[in-house]
Amino acid sequence: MKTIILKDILSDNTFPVAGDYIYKEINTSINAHEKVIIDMIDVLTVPTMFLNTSFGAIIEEFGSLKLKESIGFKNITKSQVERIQKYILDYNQVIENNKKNI
Amino acid sequence: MSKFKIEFSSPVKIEWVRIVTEWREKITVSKKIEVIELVFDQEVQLNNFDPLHIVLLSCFIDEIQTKGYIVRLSFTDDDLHNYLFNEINLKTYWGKNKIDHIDSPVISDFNIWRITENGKEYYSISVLDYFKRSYFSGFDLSSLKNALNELYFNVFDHAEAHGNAFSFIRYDKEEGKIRVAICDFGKGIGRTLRKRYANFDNDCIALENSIKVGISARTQKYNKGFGLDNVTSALKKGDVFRIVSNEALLQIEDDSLNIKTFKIPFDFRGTLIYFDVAIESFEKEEILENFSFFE
Repeated sequence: MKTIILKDILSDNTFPVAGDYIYKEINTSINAHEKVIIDMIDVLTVPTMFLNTSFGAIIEEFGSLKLKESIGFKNITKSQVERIQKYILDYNQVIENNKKNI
Repeated sequence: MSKFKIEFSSPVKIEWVRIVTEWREKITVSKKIEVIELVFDQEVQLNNFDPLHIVLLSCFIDEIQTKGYIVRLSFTDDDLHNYLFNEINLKTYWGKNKIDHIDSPVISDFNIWRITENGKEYYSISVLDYFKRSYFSGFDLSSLKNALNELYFNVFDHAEAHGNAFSFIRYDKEEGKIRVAICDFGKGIGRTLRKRYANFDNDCIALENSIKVGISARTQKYNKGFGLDNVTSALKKGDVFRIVSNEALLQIEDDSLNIKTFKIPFDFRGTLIYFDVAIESFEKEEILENFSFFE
């Protein structure tokens, strides 16, 4: 299990770049059958341009179930959990809609 | 002697957008130094001057100055004059050098900010720090921070505003609302989306769709069409959210189920977003020490 302190990543990177960093960490952990813990201390919220390049990219590649199995959080606000849960549901919906439109 | 005298005779917001739109068409690049005078008549007073007026005026002044004119402002209301020059420090923003932000001495205002590429993430942090420090310690303001981040990134990702984009935020203590206004003189949401989605027949349809999940101009590879939904789905009772862009106005009251769009009789080239967040909807911040989707 690996713990990432998100504020350290965000201090040097834009949201999309930080998201891409998290994507790579989760991707590596999935392949190693491990879990990534994201410590959200001092990070009030993350916008969708971070979520798209991190969790969204994982959902595209492995599906939302694998994402949920592979991540955990520390020091996260309740509202942020709700926002991430909604994001995962919405992302699945978009994937479904895109399949229908093909 | 002024080349043009532009009168703002009432504080009605959509009327301001119309006047600015019409004059932007008329004002061409000046080859010699000429003055454009903006006149604020009796009805335009400090007590009805909102963040929307401030950001729209900022973009307008910026464009006029970029076209080579000197801008002069004339007021009937001395209080408004005093507010714009001594508290907002309007003149300093367009002095010898263009300035991005100056702190206001008015505690309830988070002063004009020119939305810059480098500052777009840090501004929302500053706003939140400021509000948490001054008024809302212990409250969860994440939805406001989230909204600002999404909207500022939108300006950079899609607007092509060439630096002409401003934000202003005010806490209206009496009404119990935080009022946010963001304006850019870019291409506009309607025009940008209609370029990608040929079936969006008009700007009202484009704006209605802009807040739906999965609808995006995909200007950047990280754009997936979740941003505006992320803003509007967080609206709660007492909140009002509006977008004016190209030939349409979208308004959401209370929550994202109550949406109306209106065709407007002119083409506002850019995007003007203004919204009021009712502070009674802020909840106490609740931090979970650990969270997993599956225990």
